[in-house]
Amino acid sequence: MFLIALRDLQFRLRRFVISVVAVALVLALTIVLAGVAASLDIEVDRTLDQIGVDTWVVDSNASGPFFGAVPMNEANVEQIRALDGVTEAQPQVFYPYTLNSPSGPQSITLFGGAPGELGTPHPDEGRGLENPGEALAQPVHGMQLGSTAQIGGKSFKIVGTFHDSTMLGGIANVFVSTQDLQEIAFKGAPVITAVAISGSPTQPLDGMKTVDRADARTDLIRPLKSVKQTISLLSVLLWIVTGCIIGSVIYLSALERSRDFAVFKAIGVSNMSVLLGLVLQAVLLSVLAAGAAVLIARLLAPAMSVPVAFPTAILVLVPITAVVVSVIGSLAGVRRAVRVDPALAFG
Amino acid sequence: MPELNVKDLVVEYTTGGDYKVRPIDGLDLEVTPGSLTILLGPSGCGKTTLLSCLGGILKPMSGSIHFGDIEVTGLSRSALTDYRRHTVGIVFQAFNLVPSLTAEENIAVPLRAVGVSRHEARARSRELLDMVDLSHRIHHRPADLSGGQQQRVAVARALALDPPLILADEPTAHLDFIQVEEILRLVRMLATGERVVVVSTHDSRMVPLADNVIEMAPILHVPDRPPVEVKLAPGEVLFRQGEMGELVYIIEDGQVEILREHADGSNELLRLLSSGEYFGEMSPLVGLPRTATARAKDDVVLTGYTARAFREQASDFAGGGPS
Repeated sequence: MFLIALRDLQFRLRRFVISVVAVALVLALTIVLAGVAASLDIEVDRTLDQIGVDTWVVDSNASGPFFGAVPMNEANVEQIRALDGVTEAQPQVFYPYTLNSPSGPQSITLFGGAPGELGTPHPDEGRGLENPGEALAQPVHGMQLGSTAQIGGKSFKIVGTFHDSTMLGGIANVFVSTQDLQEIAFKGAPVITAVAISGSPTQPLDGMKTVDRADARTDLIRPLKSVKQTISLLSVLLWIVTGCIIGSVIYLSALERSRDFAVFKAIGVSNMSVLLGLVLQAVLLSVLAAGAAVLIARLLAPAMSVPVAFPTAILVLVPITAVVVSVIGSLAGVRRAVRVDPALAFG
Repeated sequence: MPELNVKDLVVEYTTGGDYKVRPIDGLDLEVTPGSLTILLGPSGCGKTTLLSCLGGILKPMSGSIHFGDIEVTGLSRSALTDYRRHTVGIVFQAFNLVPSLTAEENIAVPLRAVGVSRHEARARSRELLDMVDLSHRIHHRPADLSGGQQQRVAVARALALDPPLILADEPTAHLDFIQVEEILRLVRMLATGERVVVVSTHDSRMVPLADNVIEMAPILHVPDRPPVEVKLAPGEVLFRQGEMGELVYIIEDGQVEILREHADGSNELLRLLSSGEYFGEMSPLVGLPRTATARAKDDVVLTGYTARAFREQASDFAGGGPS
């Protein structure tokens, strides 16, 4: 029956190709959406890797060192540094900002830290921060290595750049000194949002608490929660559309081939063979479409305004899920084929 | 030697979920090995229904079918699949070749279904195509074959597993006279050795080739006779749906209900006929069973005519009801 299934696909090749293309386009969108969702996580992890901090001390009312931060006095840094178990403590300032670039206002995320100390990253190109008035940046919006950028009325020399340092779906990260960021954000007031530490304080923290990397990650991801939920919902809908397309193709095939199935049964072909032939068609359709979808998604990704990642897990899971969805989608057609009365062959 | 025995076969089914039809009612049949049996009769007389039963595709309401040692009517569902696979070869009226497969692949379907290797299936298919003089059409799809060629491929497919019972449903129905000759010769050739061949047809050209001819629709020989007066009391039934009819009736007095008996046992009033109207003409005229029941609504007086006598007077009568 496998040969018959393949021959039938050959016989209806044009329709099969159109179905593969339709399913591939839907799957490509699914892959792109999954890639966007994955890239949101990857951006956050990469940013935390670049900051290189595992523990922060924050105000006890804060839910994290970044979006969930509550302003603290910079004097707390010395107090924390003096605690038993703490080997290093450096101020951290986090401040989302809108940059007036030549191409118009652009969102960026500003991180302030002590130059050359814990909490300031090492760039992929150039050197790290050494002095105020220097910045490390994702090389976008005119912030190329060696250029001078105007941020918050101050001039910054871009001394280092990153290959990938973005968050929130492609918003560039910019790292400056704590002092510079306090001037931009708080008119020079000694305000910080967290204290990056090494070690683990053994004494109680008065009005403060420690948060680890997992908490920090949750804090950075939190604004994207609804976006990720929407992406998940859209992905589910796209999978349903995939199932419906495959299901309708197989159902139509079952309808058109009712007479063939009746003849098969009348001459002693088992129901299982009929069933497997249709399922094979559905699986072939989904596997070919999944392969084409990966290619289409890779072509689409550069055109997206947000980063799209293609982790291996997605590239493996999509074809597997497509096969499962295709089998489920083909059930109505299979059921119809199995229920065909062999007496129809005499009709 | 496999002999085909049918005893008191009754097949009844519901048409369109509406009313019951009994195309076969108490059929007995004995067919010896190596013979060609023709089921002759008009459309709707039960030929295909009988073939379906013989092929294990339709389960009769009662009666038995034995083919050799096999009691076909007692087989389970899976055993029926096995029976169809190994014992029966079927040639369908509309050829029923799979359009996406070549002639060779169509013949290979039953072979592959029983696990014959691709190589062996191909060899057997070619042997059979050679037998039906189509070795030059091996790779042609049905759409590229003439009707006669398609039917020959269908015959070859039926022979693929060399079954002892071949059933052919109107094998000449869609063919021109040249193609008919080829198929007739082939069908006759099949009935050799121990093989039993049963062919349903309304093509009387096949009759001289047959060893047995079964008339599926009874031929009514109603002798001419004078009109008969019939008196019915209220509620009394004149004839029932499904019975064969001999006479056409004209109502002299009273009213007659024409009822359709449904599958669920209920009756639907089709017409209420009264004095001067006639009914029941189709059954005696065309030899089909009554399609409705006639019942007296009150005291009724009728006159019954033979078909010939009725035709002579037809122009004088008004109305008419289901036969």
